Amino acid sequence: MITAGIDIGTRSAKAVILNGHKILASEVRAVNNTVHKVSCEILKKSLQKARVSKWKLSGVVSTGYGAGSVKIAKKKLPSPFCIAKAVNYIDKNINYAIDIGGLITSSISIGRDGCVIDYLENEKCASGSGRFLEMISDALEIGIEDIGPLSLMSNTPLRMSRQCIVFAESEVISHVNSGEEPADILAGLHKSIAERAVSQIKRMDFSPPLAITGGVAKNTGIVHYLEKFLDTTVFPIKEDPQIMGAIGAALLAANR
Amino acid sequence: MLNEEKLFAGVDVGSNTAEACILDQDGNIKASHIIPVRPVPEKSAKEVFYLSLASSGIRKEQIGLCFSTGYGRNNIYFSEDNVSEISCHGRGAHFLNNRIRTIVDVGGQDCKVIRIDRNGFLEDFTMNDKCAAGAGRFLELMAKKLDVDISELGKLSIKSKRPVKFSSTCAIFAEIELLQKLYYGKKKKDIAAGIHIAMARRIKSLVGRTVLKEELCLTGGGSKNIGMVRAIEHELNVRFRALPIDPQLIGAFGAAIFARDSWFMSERQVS
Repeated sequence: MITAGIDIGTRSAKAVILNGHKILASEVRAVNNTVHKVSCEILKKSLQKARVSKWKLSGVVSTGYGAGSVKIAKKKLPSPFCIAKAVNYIDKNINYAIDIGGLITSSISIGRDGCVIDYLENEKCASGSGRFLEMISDALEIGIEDIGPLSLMSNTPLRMSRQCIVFAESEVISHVNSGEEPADILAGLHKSIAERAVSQIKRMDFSPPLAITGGVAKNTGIVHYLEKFLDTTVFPIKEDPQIMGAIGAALLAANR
Repeated sequence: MLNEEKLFAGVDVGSNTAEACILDQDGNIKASHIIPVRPVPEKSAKEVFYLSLASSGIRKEQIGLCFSTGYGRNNIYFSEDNVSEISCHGRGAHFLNNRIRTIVDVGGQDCKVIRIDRNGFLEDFTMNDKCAAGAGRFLELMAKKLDVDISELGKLSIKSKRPVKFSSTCAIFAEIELLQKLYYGKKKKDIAAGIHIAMARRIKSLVGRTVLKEELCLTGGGSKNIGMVRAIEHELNVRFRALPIDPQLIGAFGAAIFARDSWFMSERQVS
C-alpha cells in the first residue's frame, strides 16, 4: 500500500512517500507565505522521485502547524502522534523523543506500540527553537550547518543573559562588537537552547532511550549539550530526523 | 563669565535610541536631540550629547552638571553620576505635571509601569525586559513584515474597523501568524490594529492587579504611536494625560532634573 505524509512546519515543509514500511522518496522545502502551493509542490516532487502516480496513493495524512492548508489530505493529525509513530518505527525501545523544529519544541513520551503517552509543547514562546539558530547564523554570518560543529570548538562558552530570541540577537551583536570569539558565543547559545529543552522534558517522567527529531537534531552542538545535561546518549536515527513527522503521518495514513 | 547661568544636561542611552536634553535653571528645555544607538553605549552618549550642544550653540563649559540614565548609563566619562531610568521617568513626568501618579513607559526593549507618590518619588514598579512581546521591538518587527514604515503603523491601525485577532504574544510566533493572515487576504490596516491590541493586552497582563492611580501618562517611543496610545487606553480603560514635551525625551529630561537638583543641593552646602 502506498501512502503519503505531509508535514507543514513553521519553517519547512516535508513530504514522504511510503510503500508499506519502506520509504520510497522524501522532499523538504522552506515554507514561505504560500503554504498551499508549497504543499502541492513537495507532494508532486516526491511522487516523481518515487515514480508513483498520484492515483496509486491509498492515503494522505497531513500534520504540523500548517496541516490545515493541505487540501489533498483527508485527515489531519497533531505532530506528536506522527513523531511518536515514526520514532517507534525506527526502534520500538525508544521511550522519549525531543522534537526541536522551526518554532515549536515538544517532548513526547512514547508507548510500546507507538502511541503517545504524554507530551509537552511550547506554543507561547519561540525561545530555544530552530528559528533561534537561524537568526544567530544570520547575525554571525556563519552557515546554519556550520554553527553546531563550531560551537563544539569552544572551551569557554559565554553566558547568555537573554532568553527571548529578539533580545538575544542584539546581545549576540554586542558580543561580536566587543570582540568575543564566535565559537564561544555559539557555545553559549547552544547551551541555552539545550537547557530549555531539558527543562521541558524533565517536567515529565523522563527515562532513556531518547531520540531527537526535527531539523535541529542535525545540529551536533545541540545534541552534544542535550546528552551532557541529560546524562545519556541519544539514540541514533538512520533517517533524516527532519522528516520524522512526515514519516509518521505516512505510516498513520495506512491505518485509516 | 563666572556669572553666566549654568545649564544642566541629561543623557538617556536606551536600547534602540539615545536622547540628550539640556535644561536651564528653571527646567526649561534649551536643546534636545534623539539618535538611533551606536554599537557602543559610550559612543551613542557622546554623539547625542555633542549633537544637542551643536544644534543650539551651547558650549560644553556652560553645562554645570550632566547625569546619565538608561540601559547604557555606565562608563559615560562626561556624566557625573547615573540614575536608573525608572527614577528618571518618575521625576521627569512629575516635574512636568505634579498630579501624575502612574507612568507607563513603552521602550524599545522593555515596558514598565511606574508608580510615584505625590512628591515624585518612586513607590513601585513592574517591568518586562525578558520577552520582546510588549516592547517597541515587537512593533518594529511587525512593521517590517507588513512592509509599512514604523511611524505609519499607528496611523494605519486606527483606520481599521475590524481588527484581526492575534493568538500569539511571542514576536517570533506573531511574525508567522502575520504572514498567514496576509496570505489569507486580510487587510494591512486590520492586521496593524490587531498587532497593537495584542501588544496592549501584553501590557495589561504586566499591570496585573496593581491599581492604576490617576493621573496617568505614557512615555517612551511607544507614546508617539497613536495606535498604541489608543489600544492601551482601551485595554486598561484609562486616559493618558498629554505631556508638554516630547514623551520620548522624559528619561533624559528626568536625568537633567536630577542633575539640576544635585547642583542646587551642593551649592547650598558651599554657601
